[in-house]
Amino acid sequence: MADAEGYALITDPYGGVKESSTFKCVHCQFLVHVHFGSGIERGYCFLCDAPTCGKPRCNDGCYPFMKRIEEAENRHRLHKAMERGYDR
Amino acid sequence: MPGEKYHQDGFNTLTSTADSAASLTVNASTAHRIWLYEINMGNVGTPADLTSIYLIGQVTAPGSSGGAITSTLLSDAAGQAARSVFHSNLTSEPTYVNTSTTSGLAVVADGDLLRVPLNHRATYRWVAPPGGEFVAPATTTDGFGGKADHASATTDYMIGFHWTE
Repeated sequence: MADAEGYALITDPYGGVKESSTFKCVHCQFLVHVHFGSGIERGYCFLCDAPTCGKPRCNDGCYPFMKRIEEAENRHRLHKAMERGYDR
Repeated sequence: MPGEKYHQDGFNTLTSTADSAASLTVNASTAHRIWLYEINMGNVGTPADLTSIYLIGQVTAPGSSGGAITSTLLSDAAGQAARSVFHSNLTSEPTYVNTSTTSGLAVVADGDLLRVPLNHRATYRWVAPPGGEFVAPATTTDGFGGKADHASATTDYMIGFHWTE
């Protein structure tokens, strides 16, 4: 898979090793293991140009997880500034 | 991306209600991002042929344990000590974004990062490529937690994190 990112490895109780490629949903960071032919439908964001996990919320619009993280950090900075009583 | 790499493992005993083995959170006074790039999971001791769901989720508070553990600095020995706070064998649970985990790990919800059903005699390893890490915002006490449960098994399980900050 062209967009597979990571690598997962499971050693089973009988000595077998199962390897799979993984990708991270570009909207929620959920980690998806790629199993060819599984029939599970995922999604794709053409704005991010990356796959999504397939949850409806992640398929309905474009809301990249890095944007959420930056928003959380901005809220945190604002909160800290308000605690100090002034803005730097 | 920031430079220093760190590692630490968390342990706990399987119980019927999920009890976290590890929480890794941003320092409460010096906020910084955490980039989680490797996860290792498995049971230790003499596990039976049983299966549990292992969950790695986003958290907004670290929970508590007997005391935070000093993380191992993996890169330059002269590098900075970890600012992140790591707890093992948690006695009070981290605050998971996925609040439905309180009703069982089989209920999926927003805030999940990784959910794997794993035989107790199996091991799991995930490695992210550069740029594909799980990211925690530089927001006080945000981070990651890991937990598993089982209705009858009482073996110990381990969740190990590698990260940069």
